[in-house]
Amino acid sequence: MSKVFGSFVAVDDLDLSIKKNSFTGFLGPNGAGKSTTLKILTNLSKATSGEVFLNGINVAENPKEALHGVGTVVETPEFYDYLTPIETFRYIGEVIGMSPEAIKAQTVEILDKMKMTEWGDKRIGTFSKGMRQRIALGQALLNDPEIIILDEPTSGLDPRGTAEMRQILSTLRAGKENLTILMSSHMLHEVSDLCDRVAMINHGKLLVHDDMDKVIFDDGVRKIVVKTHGDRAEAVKRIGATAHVLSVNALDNEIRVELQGDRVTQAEFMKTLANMDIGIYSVSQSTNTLEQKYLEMIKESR
Amino acid sequence: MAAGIMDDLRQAFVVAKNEMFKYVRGRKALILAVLILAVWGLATALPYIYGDGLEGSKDSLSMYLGSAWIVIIIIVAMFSSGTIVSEFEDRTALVLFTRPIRKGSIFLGKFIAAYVFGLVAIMIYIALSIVTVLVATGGLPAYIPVAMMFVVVTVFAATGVAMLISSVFKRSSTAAIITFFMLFLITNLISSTLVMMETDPWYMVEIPAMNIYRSLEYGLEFASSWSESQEIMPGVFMPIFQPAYDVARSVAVALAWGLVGLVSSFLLFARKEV
Repeated sequence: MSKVFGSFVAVDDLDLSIKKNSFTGFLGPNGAGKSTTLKILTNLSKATSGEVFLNGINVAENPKEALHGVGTVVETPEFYDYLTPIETFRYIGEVIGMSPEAIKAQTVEILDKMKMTEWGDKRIGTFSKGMRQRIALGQALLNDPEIIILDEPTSGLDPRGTAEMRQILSTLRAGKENLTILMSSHMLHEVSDLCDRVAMINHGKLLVHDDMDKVIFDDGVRKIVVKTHGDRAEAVKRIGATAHVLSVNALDNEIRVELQGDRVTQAEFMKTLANMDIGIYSVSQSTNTLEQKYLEMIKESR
Repeated sequence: MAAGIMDDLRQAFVVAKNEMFKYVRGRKALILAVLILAVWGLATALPYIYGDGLEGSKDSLSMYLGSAWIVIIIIVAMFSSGTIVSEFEDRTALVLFTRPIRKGSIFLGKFIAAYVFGLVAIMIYIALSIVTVLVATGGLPAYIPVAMMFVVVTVFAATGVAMLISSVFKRSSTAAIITFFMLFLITNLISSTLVMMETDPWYMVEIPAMNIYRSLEYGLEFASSWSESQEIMPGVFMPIFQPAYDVARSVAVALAWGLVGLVSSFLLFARKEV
Protein backbone atom coordinates (compact mmCIF):
# COMPACT_ATOMS: atom_id res chain seq x y z
CA MET A 1 0.00 0.00 0.00
CA SER A 2 0.97 3.64 -0.43
CA LYS A 3 0.08 6.86 1.30
CA VAL A 4 0.64 10.23 -0.28
CA PHE A 5 0.17 13.65 1.33
CA GLY A 6 0.17 16.20 -1.49
CA SER A 7 3.53 15.70 -3.19
CA PHE A 8 5.05 13.84 -0.22
CA VAL A 9 5.08 10.06 -0.39
CA ALA A 10 4.86 8.88 3.23
CA VAL A 11 4.49 5.18 2.45
CA ASP A 12 5.77 3.95 -0.88
CA ASP A 13 4.32 0.68 -2.16
CA LEU A 14 4.95 -1.06 1.15
CA ASP A 15 4.40 -4.82 1.06
CA LEU A 16 4.69 -6.23 4.56
CA SER A 17 3.21 -9.38 6.03
CA ILE A 18 3.59 -9.85 9.77
CA LYS A 19 4.16 -13.42 10.88
CA LYS A 20 1.51 -14.78 13.24
CA ASN A 21 2.60 -15.14 16.88
CA SER A 22 5.75 -13.12 16.30
CA PHE A 23 6.96 -10.03 18.14
CA THR A 24 8.02 -7.79 15.29
CA GLY A 25 10.00 -4.61 15.77
CA PHE A 26 9.15 -1.91 13.23
CA LEU A 27 12.17 0.34 12.74
CA GLY A 28 12.93 3.43 10.75
CA PRO A 29 14.16 6.99 11.20
CA ASN A 30 11.82 9.92 11.84
CA GLY A 31 9.53 10.47 8.88
CA ALA A 32 10.18 6.98 7.51
CA GLY A 33 6.46 6.20 7.47
CA LYS A 34 6.16 4.01 10.58
CA SER A 35 3.35 5.91 12.31
CA THR A 36 1.51 6.45 9.03
CA THR A 37 1.64 2.70 8.37
CA LEU A 38 0.36 1.91 11.86
CA LYS A 39 -2.41 4.51 11.53
CA ILE A 40 -3.57 2.94 8.28
CA LEU A 41 -3.41 -0.47 9.93
CA THR A 42 -5.61 0.74 12.80
CA ASN A 43 -8.13 2.62 10.62
CA LEU A 44 -7.06 6.07 11.76
CA SER A 45 -6.03 6.90 8.21
CA LYS A 46 -6.76 5.54 4.74
CA ALA A 47 -4.18 4.28 2.25
CA THR A 48 -4.02 6.28 -0.98
CA SER A 49 -3.67 2.98 -2.83
CA GLY A 50 -3.42 -0.66 -1.88
CA GLU A 51 -5.01 -2.69 0.86
CA VAL A 52 -4.33 -3.50 4.49
CA PHE A 53 -5.53 -6.64 6.24
CA LEU A 54 -5.77 -7.70 9.87
CA ASN A 55 -6.41 -11.39 10.39
CA GLY A 56 -7.21 -11.53 6.69
CA ILE A 57 -9.94 -8.86 6.91
CA ASN A 58 -9.65 -5.66 4.87
CA VAL A 59 -9.33 -2.81 7.39
CA ALA A 60 -10.70 -0.07 5.12
CA GLU A 61 -13.68 -2.12 3.98
CA ASN A 62 -14.64 -3.71 7.28
CA PRO A 63 -12.85 -1.97 10.14
CA LYS A 64 -15.18 -3.27 12.82
CA GLU A 65 -14.47 -6.91 11.98
CA ALA A 66 -10.79 -6.32 11.25
CA LEU A 67 -10.10 -4.57 14.57
CA HIS A 68 -11.91 -7.21 16.60
CA GLY A 69 -9.39 -8.83 18.93
CA VAL A 70 -6.79 -6.14 18.27
CA GLY A 71 -5.26 -3.92 20.96
CA THR A 72 -3.56 -0.70 19.93
CA VAL A 73 -1.46 2.09 21.34
CA VAL A 74 -0.85 4.61 18.57
CA GLU A 75 1.43 7.58 19.30
CA THR A 76 0.72 8.96 22.76
CA PRO A 77 -3.02 8.68 23.08
CA GLU A 78 -4.91 10.93 25.45
CA PHE A 79 -7.79 9.84 27.57
CA TYR A 80 -11.00 11.48 28.64
CA ASP A 81 -9.56 13.40 31.57
CA TYR A 82 -12.88 13.42 33.41
CA LEU A 83 -12.73 9.62 33.68
CA THR A 84 -10.72 7.43 36.03
CA PRO A 85 -8.80 4.38 34.71
CA ILE A 86 -11.59 2.13 36.00
CA GLU A 87 -14.21 4.22 34.17
CA THR A 88 -12.04 4.34 31.03
CA PHE A 89 -11.69 0.55 30.98
CA ARG A 90 -15.45 0.24 31.56
CA TYR A 91 -16.14 2.56 28.63
CA ILE A 92 -13.75 0.78 26.27
CA GLY A 93 -14.99 -2.61 27.53
CA GLU A 94 -18.61 -1.66 26.88
CA VAL A 95 -17.75 -0.35 23.42
CA ILE A 96 -16.15 -3.66 22.46
CA GLY A 97 -19.03 -5.64 23.95
CA MET A 98 -17.44 -7.19 27.03
CA SER A 99 -19.72 -8.27 29.87
CA PRO A 100 -19.69 -6.16 33.07
CA GLU A 101 -18.17 -9.11 34.97
CA ALA A 102 -15.38 -9.55 32.42
CA ILE A 103 -14.65 -5.81 32.46
CA LYS A 104 -14.39 -5.82 36.26
CA ALA A 105 -12.14 -8.87 36.35
CA GLN A 106 -9.88 -7.61 33.57
CA THR A 107 -9.68 -4.13 35.10
CA VAL A 108 -8.40 -5.51 38.40
CA GLU A 109 -5.87 -7.73 36.63
CA ILE A 110 -4.61 -5.05 34.24
CA LEU A 111 -4.31 -2.34 36.87
CA ASP A 112 -2.25 -4.78 38.90
CA LYS A 113 -0.12 -5.69 35.88
CA MET A 114 0.43 -1.99 35.11
CA LYS A 115 1.13 -1.21 38.77
CA MET A 116 -1.72 1.29 38.73
CA THR A 117 -4.10 -0.29 41.25
CA GLU A 118 -3.90 2.58 43.72
CA TRP A 119 -4.65 5.06 40.90
CA GLY A 120 -7.67 3.19 39.58
CA ASP A 121 -10.23 5.65 40.96
CA LYS A 122 -8.32 8.88 40.31
CA ARG A 123 -9.14 11.07 37.33
CA ILE A 124 -6.69 10.61 34.43
CA GLY A 125 -6.45 14.39 34.00
CA THR A 126 -3.97 14.47 36.88
CA PHE A 127 -1.71 11.67 35.56
CA SER A 128 1.89 11.96 34.31
CA LYS A 129 2.85 10.87 30.79
CA GLY A 130 4.27 7.60 32.07
CA MET A 131 1.06 6.78 33.91
CA ARG A 132 -1.02 7.63 30.85
CA GLN A 133 1.21 5.39 28.74
CA ARG A 134 0.60 2.51 31.14
CA ILE A 135 -3.15 3.15 30.97
CA ALA A 136 -2.83 3.23 27.18
CA LEU A 137 -1.21 -0.20 27.17
CA GLY A 138 -3.75 -1.40 29.75
CA GLN A 139 -6.74 -0.46 27.60
CA ALA A 140 -5.09 -2.20 24.64
CA LEU A 141 -4.96 -5.43 26.66
CA LEU A 142 -8.54 -5.21 27.92
CA ASN A 143 -10.07 -7.74 25.58
CA ASP A 144 -7.11 -10.12 25.79
CA PRO A 145 -6.16 -9.36 22.17
CA GLU A 146 -4.50 -11.74 19.75
CA ILE A 147 -2.83 -8.84 17.97
CA ILE A 148 -1.22 -5.84 19.65
CA ILE A 149 -0.04 -2.83 17.66
CA LEU A 150 2.24 -0.46 19.54
CA ASP A 151 3.64 2.82 18.27
CA GLU A 152 6.73 3.73 20.29
CA PRO A 153 5.32 2.57 23.62
CA THR A 154 8.30 3.86 25.62
CA SER A 155 8.50 7.23 23.89
CA GLY A 156 8.84 10.09 26.35
CA LEU A 157 9.10 7.87 29.41
CA ASP A 158 11.80 8.31 32.04
CA PRO A 159 14.35 5.47 32.47
CA ARG A 160 12.30 3.82 35.20
CA GLY A 161 9.10 4.07 33.18
CA THR A 162 10.90 2.70 30.14
CA ALA A 163 12.27 -0.26 32.09
CA GLU A 164 8.84 -0.99 33.58
CA MET A 165 7.13 -0.80 30.21
CA ARG A 166 9.75 -3.13 28.72
CA GLN A 167 9.24 -5.54 31.60
CA ILE A 168 5.48 -5.51 31.00
CA LEU A 169 5.95 -6.19 27.29
CA SER A 170 8.40 -8.97 28.00
CA THR A 171 6.01 -10.60 30.49
CA LEU A 172 3.16 -10.19 28.06
CA ARG A 173 5.03 -12.00 25.36
CA ALA A 174 6.13 -14.79 27.67
CA GLY A 175 2.66 -15.25 29.14
CA LYS A 176 0.75 -15.90 25.93
CA GLU A 177 1.63 -18.08 22.97
CA ASN A 178 -1.13 -16.96 20.64
CA LEU A 179 -0.10 -13.33 20.49
CA THR A 180 1.23 -11.25 17.63
CA ILE A 181 2.86 -7.94 18.47
CA LEU A 182 3.93 -5.25 16.04
CA MET A 183 5.89 -2.50 17.75
CA SER A 184 7.50 0.55 16.24
CA SER A 185 10.38 1.99 18.20
CA HIS A 186 13.44 4.18 17.99
CA MET A 187 15.15 2.19 20.74
CA LEU A 188 17.24 -0.36 18.89
CA HIS A 189 18.34 -2.23 21.98
CA GLU A 190 14.69 -2.40 23.04
CA VAL A 191 13.75 -4.00 19.74
CA SER A 192 16.80 -6.23 19.92
CA ASP A 193 15.87 -7.40 23.44
CA LEU A 194 12.15 -7.87 22.97
CA CYS A 195 11.51 -8.79 19.36
CA ASP A 196 12.12 -11.99 17.45
CA ARG A 197 11.55 -10.39 14.05
CA VAL A 198 12.36 -7.00 12.64
CA ALA A 199 11.11 -4.86 9.76
CA MET A 200 12.98 -1.74 8.71
CA ILE A 201 11.62 1.01 6.51
CA ASN A 202 12.96 4.27 5.17
CA HIS A 203 11.27 6.82 2.90
CA GLY A 204 8.18 4.64 3.16
CA LYS A 205 9.92 1.66 1.55
CA LEU A 206 10.59 -1.68 3.19
CA LEU A 207 14.33 -2.33 3.52
CA VAL A 208 14.28 -5.66 5.28
CA HIS A 209 11.85 -7.94 7.11
CA ASP A 210 13.07 -11.16 8.62
CA ASP A 211 13.96 -13.00 11.83
CA MET A 212 16.07 -10.83 14.13
CA ASP A 213 18.95 -13.30 13.94
CA LYS A 214 18.91 -13.37 10.16
CA VAL A 215 18.91 -9.58 9.95
CA ILE A 216 21.67 -9.09 12.49
CA PHE A 217 23.75 -12.10 11.52
CA ASP A 218 23.10 -12.10 7.80
CA ASP A 219 26.76 -13.06 7.22
CA GLY A 220 26.45 -15.83 9.81
CA VAL A 221 28.90 -14.10 12.16
CA ARG A 222 27.78 -13.69 15.77
CA LYS A 223 29.65 -11.25 17.99
CA ILE A 224 30.02 -12.22 21.64
CA VAL A 225 31.63 -10.33 24.49
CA VAL A 226 33.30 -12.38 27.26
CA LYS A 227 34.58 -10.97 30.56
CA THR A 228 36.97 -12.86 32.77
CA HIS A 229 38.81 -12.15 35.99
CA GLY A 230 41.34 -14.87 35.20
CA ASP A 231 44.35 -14.94 32.90
CA ARG A 232 43.17 -13.17 29.74
CA ALA A 233 45.96 -14.45 27.52
CA GLU A 234 45.10 -18.01 28.48
CA ALA A 235 41.39 -17.28 27.94
CA VAL A 236 42.04 -15.84 24.45
CA LYS A 237 44.12 -18.86 23.54
CA ARG A 238 41.55 -21.40 24.71
CA ILE A 239 38.56 -19.57 23.25
CA GLY A 240 40.39 -19.20 19.95
CA ALA A 241 40.87 -22.95 19.82
CA THR A 242 37.14 -23.59 20.14
CA ALA A 243 35.17 -24.81 17.13
CA HIS A 244 33.49 -22.19 14.84
CA VAL A 245 35.41 -19.27 16.38
CA LEU A 246 36.63 -16.96 13.63
CA SER A 247 38.54 -14.43 15.72
CA VAL A 248 39.28 -13.50 19.33
CA ASN A 249 40.49 -10.07 20.47
CA ALA A 250 41.22 -8.82 23.96
CA LEU A 251 40.18 -5.21 24.32
CA ASP A 252 40.22 -3.26 27.58
CA ASN A 253 38.65 -5.56 30.12
CA GLU A 254 36.73 -7.74 27.69
CA ILE A 255 37.34 -10.38 25.06
CA ARG A 256 35.49 -10.02 21.77
CA VAL A 257 34.71 -13.21 19.94
CA GLU A 258 33.41 -13.67 16.39
CA LEU A 259 31.59 -16.95 15.95
CA GLN A 260 30.51 -18.50 12.66
CA GLY A 261 27.14 -20.20 12.95
CA ASP A 262 23.56 -20.07 14.11
CA ARG A 263 21.82 -20.14 17.49
CA VAL A 264 22.64 -23.81 17.99
CA THR A 265 26.31 -23.13 17.35
CA GLN A 266 26.19 -20.28 19.85
CA ALA A 267 24.49 -22.51 22.45
CA GLU A 268 27.25 -25.11 22.03
CA PHE A 269 29.87 -22.41 22.33
CA MET A 270 28.31 -21.15 25.59
CA LYS A 271 28.34 -24.66 26.99
CA THR A 272 32.02 -25.02 26.10
CA LEU A 273 32.82 -21.66 27.73
CA ALA A 274 31.03 -22.68 30.92
CA ASN A 275 33.20 -25.76 31.18
CA MET A 276 36.49 -23.93 30.57
CA ASP A 277 37.10 -22.78 34.14
CA ILE A 278 38.97 -19.63 33.07
CA GLY A 279 37.25 -17.18 35.46
CA ILE A 280 34.44 -16.08 33.10
CA TYR A 281 31.91 -13.93 34.95
CA SER A 282 29.99 -12.39 32.02
CA VAL A 283 29.02 -13.47 28.50
CA SER A 284 26.84 -11.23 26.37
CA GLN A 285 25.79 -10.60 22.81
CA SER A 286 27.41 -7.52 21.33
CA THR A 287 24.61 -4.93 21.72
CA ASN A 288 25.52 -2.69 18.83
CA THR A 289 24.96 -5.26 16.10
CA LEU A 290 21.35 -4.25 15.32
CA GLU A 291 22.42 -0.63 15.45
CA GLN A 292 25.22 -1.28 12.98
CA LYS A 293 22.86 -3.12 10.67
CA TYR A 294 20.25 -0.40 11.00
CA LEU A 295 22.71 2.39 10.22
CA GLU A 296 24.13 0.48 7.25
CA MET A 297 20.69 -0.08 5.77
CA ILE A 298 19.49 3.47 6.34
CA LYS A 299 22.69 4.80 4.75
CA GLU A 300 22.29 2.53 1.73
CA SER A 301 18.67 3.56 1.24
CA ARG A 302 19.40 7.31 1.10
CA MET B 1 -27.23 -8.42 9.49
CA ALA B 2 -29.86 -7.51 12.12
CA ALA B 3 -27.47 -8.54 14.91
CA GLY B 4 -24.81 -6.32 13.39
CA ILE B 5 -27.16 -3.32 13.32
CA MET B 6 -28.23 -4.01 16.91
CA ASP B 7 -24.58 -4.09 17.97
CA ASP B 8 -23.92 -0.81 16.12
CA LEU B 9 -26.85 0.77 17.99
CA ARG B 10 -25.65 -0.67 21.31
CA GLN B 11 -22.23 0.88 20.71
CA ALA B 12 -23.86 4.21 19.78
CA PHE B 13 -25.65 4.23 23.14
CA VAL B 14 -22.40 3.44 24.97
CA VAL B 15 -20.78 6.44 23.24
CA ALA B 16 -23.85 8.58 24.04
CA LYS B 17 -23.67 7.58 27.70
CA ASN B 18 -20.02 8.59 27.89
CA GLU B 19 -20.71 11.91 26.15
CA MET B 20 -23.51 12.70 28.60
CA PHE B 21 -21.16 11.83 31.41
CA LYS B 22 -18.63 14.28 29.94
CA TYR B 23 -21.25 17.05 29.72
CA VAL B 24 -22.49 16.54 33.27
CA ARG B 25 -19.04 16.15 34.89
CA GLY B 26 -17.41 19.13 33.25
CA ARG B 27 -17.37 22.68 34.57
CA LYS B 28 -19.35 23.76 31.53
CA ALA B 29 -22.53 22.20 32.98
CA LEU B 30 -22.21 24.44 36.01
CA ILE B 31 -21.65 27.51 33.82
CA LEU B 32 -24.71 26.59 31.75
CA ALA B 33 -26.84 26.23 34.89
CA VAL B 34 -25.74 29.72 35.99
CA LEU B 35 -26.51 31.16 32.53
CA ILE B 36 -29.97 29.55 32.43
CA LEU B 37 -30.73 30.91 35.88
CA ALA B 38 -29.45 34.33 34.81
CA VAL B 39 -31.71 34.45 31.72
CA TRP B 40 -34.70 33.25 33.76
CA GLY B 41 -33.87 35.68 36.57
CA LEU B 42 -33.64 38.64 34.18
CA ALA B 43 -36.84 37.69 32.40
CA THR B 44 -38.58 37.47 35.77
CA ALA B 45 -37.10 40.57 37.36
CA LEU B 46 -37.34 43.09 34.49
CA PRO B 47 -41.17 43.21 34.33
CA TYR B 48 -41.23 43.94 38.06
CA ILE B 49 -38.45 46.56 37.83
CA TYR B 50 -39.87 48.47 34.85
CA GLY B 51 -43.58 47.61 35.05
CA ASP B 52 -46.30 45.97 37.06
CA GLY B 53 -44.82 42.49 36.95
CA LEU B 54 -46.05 39.45 35.05
CA GLU B 55 -49.53 40.06 33.67
CA GLY B 56 -51.51 37.56 31.64
CA SER B 57 -50.28 34.00 31.32
CA LYS B 58 -49.94 34.07 27.50
CA ASP B 59 -47.95 37.32 27.33
CA SER B 60 -45.81 36.32 30.29
CA LEU B 61 -44.90 32.89 28.91
CA SER B 62 -44.33 34.44 25.45
CA MET B 63 -41.78 36.72 27.02
CA TYR B 64 -39.92 33.75 28.59
CA LEU B 65 -40.12 31.68 25.40
CA GLY B 66 -38.83 34.68 23.45
CA SER B 67 -35.48 34.02 25.14
CA ALA B 68 -35.55 30.26 24.41
CA TRP B 69 -33.63 30.67 21.12
CA ILE B 70 -30.69 32.43 22.76
CA VAL B 71 -30.61 29.75 25.47
CA ILE B 72 -30.58 27.06 22.76
CA ILE B 73 -27.74 28.87 20.97
CA ILE B 74 -25.74 29.02 24.21
CA ILE B 75 -26.31 25.29 24.83
CA VAL B 76 -25.26 24.11 21.37
CA ALA B 77 -22.29 26.50 21.26
CA MET B 78 -21.05 25.20 24.60
CA PHE B 79 -21.69 21.49 24.11
CA SER B 80 -22.70 20.26 20.63
CA SER B 81 -20.06 22.35 18.84
CA GLY B 82 -17.25 20.48 20.63
CA THR B 83 -18.53 16.96 20.26
CA ILE B 84 -16.60 16.01 17.08
CA VAL B 85 -13.65 18.39 17.12
CA SER B 86 -12.68 17.51 20.72
CA GLU B 87 -11.93 13.87 19.78
CA PHE B 88 -9.25 15.09 17.36
CA GLU B 89 -8.05 18.08 19.37
CA ASP B 90 -7.71 16.08 22.60
CA ARG B 91 -6.32 13.04 20.72
CA THR B 92 -8.86 10.74 22.38
CA ALA B 93 -9.68 9.57 18.84
CA LEU B 94 -6.47 7.52 19.00
CA VAL B 95 -8.15 5.32 21.60
CA LEU B 96 -11.78 5.24 20.48
CA PHE B 97 -11.34 5.09 16.70
CA THR B 98 -8.90 2.17 16.82
CA ARG B 99 -11.57 0.03 18.48
CA PRO B 100 -13.96 -2.24 16.56
CA ILE B 101 -16.66 0.40 16.21
CA ARG B 102 -18.06 2.04 13.10
CA LYS B 103 -17.71 5.77 12.70
CA GLY B 104 -21.47 5.82 12.18
CA SER B 105 -21.99 4.47 15.71
CA ILE B 106 -19.61 7.04 17.16
CA PHE B 107 -21.39 9.84 15.29
CA LEU B 108 -24.86 8.62 16.24
CA GLY B 109 -23.85 8.34 19.89
CA LYS B 110 -22.45 11.85 19.89
CA PHE B 111 -25.56 13.24 18.21
CA ILE B 112 -27.92 11.48 20.65
CA ALA B 113 -25.98 12.88 23.61
CA ALA B 114 -25.80 16.41 22.22
CA TYR B 115 -29.48 16.43 21.25
CA VAL B 116 -30.83 14.89 24.46
CA PHE B 117 -28.62 17.09 26.62
CA GLY B 118 -29.67 20.22 24.69
CA LEU B 119 -33.32 19.27 24.94
CA VAL B 120 -33.14 18.54 28.68
CA ALA B 121 -31.28 21.81 29.35
CA ILE B 122 -33.78 23.98 27.43
CA MET B 123 -36.68 22.08 29.00
CA ILE B 124 -35.33 22.97 32.44
CA TYR B 125 -35.46 26.66 31.45
CA ILE B 126 -38.97 26.26 30.03
CA ALA B 127 -40.18 24.30 33.08
CA LEU B 128 -38.85 27.09 35.34
CA SER B 129 -40.66 29.63 33.18
CA ILE B 130 -43.96 27.71 33.20
CA VAL B 131 -43.87 27.31 36.99
CA THR B 132 -43.08 31.03 37.40
CA VAL B 133 -45.97 32.06 35.11
CA LEU B 134 -48.33 29.68 36.90
CA VAL B 135 -47.37 31.07 40.30
CA ALA B 136 -47.44 34.72 39.17
CA THR B 137 -50.61 34.70 37.05
CA GLY B 138 -52.49 31.70 38.41
CA GLY B 139 -52.93 30.17 34.96
CA LEU B 140 -51.24 28.86 31.84
CA PRO B 141 -51.92 29.57 28.16
CA ALA B 142 -53.16 26.97 25.74
CA TYR B 143 -50.92 25.66 22.97
CA ILE B 144 -47.95 24.92 25.26
CA PRO B 145 -47.62 21.48 23.56
CA VAL B 146 -47.28 23.25 20.18
CA ALA B 147 -44.54 25.44 21.63
CA MET B 148 -42.81 22.31 22.95
CA MET B 149 -42.96 20.76 19.49
CA PHE B 150 -41.16 23.81 18.10
CA VAL B 151 -38.57 23.52 20.88
CA VAL B 152 -37.93 19.87 19.93
CA VAL B 153 -37.36 20.66 16.23
CA THR B 154 -35.42 23.87 16.87
CA VAL B 155 -32.94 22.07 19.15
CA PHE B 156 -32.59 19.46 16.39
CA ALA B 157 -31.81 22.17 13.82
CA ALA B 158 -29.33 23.97 16.08
CA THR B 159 -27.60 20.69 17.01
CA GLY B 160 -27.21 19.80 13.32
CA VAL B 161 -25.62 23.18 12.56
CA ALA B 162 -23.31 22.96 15.61
CA MET B 163 -22.16 19.43 14.73
CA LEU B 164 -21.44 20.50 11.15
CA ILE B 165 -19.25 23.32 12.46
CA SER B 166 -17.65 20.84 14.88
CA SER B 167 -16.62 18.63 11.95
CA VAL B 168 -15.04 21.52 10.04
CA PHE B 169 -12.80 23.18 12.60
CA LYS B 170 -9.70 21.95 14.42
CA ARG B 171 -10.25 23.67 17.76
CA SER B 172 -13.22 23.40 20.11
CA SER B 173 -13.00 27.08 21.04
CA THR B 174 -13.15 28.15 17.38
CA ALA B 175 -16.10 25.83 16.73
CA ALA B 176 -17.94 27.24 19.77
CA ILE B 177 -17.40 30.87 18.70
CA ILE B 178 -18.35 30.20 15.07
CA THR B 179 -21.49 28.29 16.17
CA PHE B 180 -22.54 31.17 18.40
CA PHE B 181 -21.97 33.82 15.74
CA MET B 182 -23.47 31.70 13.00
CA LEU B 183 -26.76 31.18 14.84
CA PHE B 184 -26.91 34.44 16.76
CA LEU B 185 -25.59 36.91 14.21
CA ILE B 186 -25.12 35.64 10.68
CA THR B 187 -28.43 33.86 10.11
CA ASN B 188 -30.16 36.59 12.09
CA LEU B 189 -28.57 39.26 9.89
CA ILE B 190 -29.74 37.49 6.75
CA SER B 191 -33.27 37.09 8.16
CA SER B 192 -33.40 40.74 9.27
CA THR B 193 -32.26 41.95 5.85
CA LEU B 194 -34.93 39.86 4.17
CA VAL B 195 -37.56 41.11 6.59
CA MET B 196 -36.57 44.72 5.90
CA MET B 197 -37.11 43.95 2.24
CA GLU B 198 -40.53 42.60 3.25
CA THR B 199 -39.52 39.12 2.05
CA ASP B 200 -40.64 36.22 4.22
CA PRO B 201 -37.48 34.36 5.39
CA TRP B 202 -39.49 31.19 5.99
CA TYR B 203 -36.49 28.98 5.17
CA MET B 204 -34.24 30.49 7.83
CA VAL B 205 -33.50 28.65 11.09
CA GLU B 206 -34.81 31.55 13.22
CA ILE B 207 -38.36 31.04 11.98
CA PRO B 208 -39.08 27.79 13.88
CA ALA B 209 -37.22 29.34 16.83
CA MET B 210 -39.45 32.40 16.65
CA ASN B 211 -42.49 30.16 16.42
CA ILE B 212 -41.72 28.74 19.86
CA TYR B 213 -43.37 31.84 21.37
CA ARG B 214 -45.62 32.73 18.42
CA SER B 215 -47.30 29.34 18.77
CA LEU B 216 -48.86 30.54 22.03
CA GLU B 217 -50.83 33.04 19.93
CA TYR B 218 -51.75 30.91 16.92
CA GLY B 219 -51.53 27.29 18.06
CA LEU B 220 -51.92 25.10 14.97
CA GLU B 221 -53.65 27.78 12.89
CA PHE B 222 -52.05 29.41 9.85
CA ALA B 223 -51.34 33.16 10.00
CA SER B 224 -50.39 35.22 6.97
CA SER B 225 -47.46 37.59 6.96
CA TRP B 226 -48.27 41.23 7.59
CA SER B 227 -46.46 44.54 7.66
CA GLU B 228 -47.08 47.93 9.17
CA SER B 229 -45.22 51.13 9.71
CA GLN B 230 -44.45 51.80 13.34
CA GLU B 231 -43.32 55.10 14.88
CA ILE B 232 -40.16 54.26 16.83
CA MET B 233 -39.30 57.92 17.66
CA PRO B 234 -41.38 61.07 17.14
CA GLY B 235 -41.58 61.49 13.40
CA VAL B 236 -39.43 58.40 12.67
CA PHE B 237 -41.28 55.44 11.20
CA MET B 238 -39.92 51.95 10.66
CA PRO B 239 -41.57 49.18 8.68
CA ILE B 240 -42.40 46.14 10.80
CA PHE B 241 -42.76 42.85 8.96
CA GLN B 242 -44.12 39.74 10.57
CA PRO B 243 -43.42 36.49 8.66
CA ALA B 244 -46.19 34.02 8.07
CA TYR B 245 -46.91 31.47 10.76
CA ASP B 246 -47.10 28.03 9.18
CA VAL B 247 -46.63 25.07 11.54
CA ALA B 248 -45.98 22.33 8.97
CA ARG B 249 -43.60 24.43 6.88
CA SER B 250 -41.74 25.67 9.94
CA VAL B 251 -41.28 22.16 11.35
CA ALA B 252 -40.07 20.98 7.93
CA VAL B 253 -37.58 23.86 7.77
CA ALA B 254 -36.16 22.99 11.21
CA LEU B 255 -35.90 19.31 10.29
CA ALA B 256 -34.20 20.23 7.01
CA TRP B 257 -31.61 22.43 8.76
CA GLY B 258 -30.93 19.65 11.27
CA LEU B 259 -30.72 16.89 8.67
CA VAL B 260 -28.54 18.81 6.22
CA GLY B 261 -26.24 19.78 9.10
CA LEU B 262 -25.99 16.23 10.40
CA VAL B 263 -25.50 14.52 7.03
CA SER B 264 -22.81 17.04 6.03
CA SER B 265 -21.20 16.70 9.44
CA PHE B 266 -21.11 12.91 9.18
CA LEU B 267 -19.63 12.99 5.67
CA LEU B 268 -16.84 15.28 6.89
CA PHE B 269 -16.33 13.25 10.07
CA ALA B 270 -16.13 9.94 8.19
CA ARG B 271 -13.41 11.31 5.91
CA LYS B 272 -11.43 12.95 8.69
CA GLU B 273 -8.08 11.31 9.44
CA VAL B 274 -6.14 11.41 12.69
